[in-house]
Amino acid sequence: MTAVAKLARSFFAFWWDFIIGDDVTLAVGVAAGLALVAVLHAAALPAWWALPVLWILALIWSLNRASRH
Amino acid sequence: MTGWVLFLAAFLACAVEAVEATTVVLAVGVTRGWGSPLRGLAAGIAVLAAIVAALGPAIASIPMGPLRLIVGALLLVFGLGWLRKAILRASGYKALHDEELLYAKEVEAARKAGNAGRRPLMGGDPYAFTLAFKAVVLEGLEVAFIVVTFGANARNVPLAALAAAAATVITVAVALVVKGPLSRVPENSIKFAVGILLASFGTFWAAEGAGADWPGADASLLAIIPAIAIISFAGVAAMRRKRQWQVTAVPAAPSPTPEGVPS
Repeated sequence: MTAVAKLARSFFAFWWDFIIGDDVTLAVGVAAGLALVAVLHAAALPAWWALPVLWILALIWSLNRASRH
Repeated sequence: MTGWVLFLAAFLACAVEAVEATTVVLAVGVTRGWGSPLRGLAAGIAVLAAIVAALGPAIASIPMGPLRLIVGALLLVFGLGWLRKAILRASGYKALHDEELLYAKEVEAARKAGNAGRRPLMGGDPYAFTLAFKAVVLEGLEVAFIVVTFGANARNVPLAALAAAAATVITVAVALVVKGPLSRVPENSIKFAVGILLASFGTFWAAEGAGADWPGADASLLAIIPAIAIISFAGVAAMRRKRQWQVTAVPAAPSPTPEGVPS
């Protein structure tokens, strides 16, 4: 691996760990929630509930998975 | 967001980061001498100042909608990560991450590292310098992030910065008084509370940035914060029941004492 590739890899790893942390499920839940908010908003429907519902589901999923290990 | 809510949220969040960084610097300083850790501390503060100076004006020039979406999403992901860990710790699924344990680990790592690889540029002890520098930059970056995002969203960066400064000064003052691990600070409980606050503000800002209109506008935070607190405590209760059931089904499994949730 070249020095540039190593640097890029460690840079990516730092930001991944800084932002995502232990479990990517939560970030995926947040992203899905925000996408649903945008879709509902574009359709002129109430959208405020979508984000909390999606991240709560992601949190439940993540906790359940952690409890099995 | 009212002033005192902004101050409290920024103060608590920054206090957690300050406790972690201070603990690392203390552990390294006590075991390997204070010269290099203090140089690492100074270098870390200098890097942080440069980052904040670069970040502040950039964020101020970004439109509020995209800013709320991005920083709200980041805060929400951070907050959910903290909440997840706090719930797992409180229900016995994860070992407690207290400052005494962190202090002991840093002391052990510092002793194992010995004095090999001395370099004068880092004050004679590159390991101590790097540990202190890394802790200050990483934790300080989170403090800067909290100050800039909380402050920019509430249109009151000076108050958020004041809260961060107060949290840092108080933490360092406490560290100087106790001169040991900051285990007296109930870090797990603080993290639980901060996780709730970060998730609440993150949910509010990110959804608003994505186009949602909250019922009651800013006043909806008064409902969001307690709602997320209730959900979190319900999560702890459910996970404790599940843990209890698993321990009963498999008697050999370890059963740590649940802690970390404010009573």
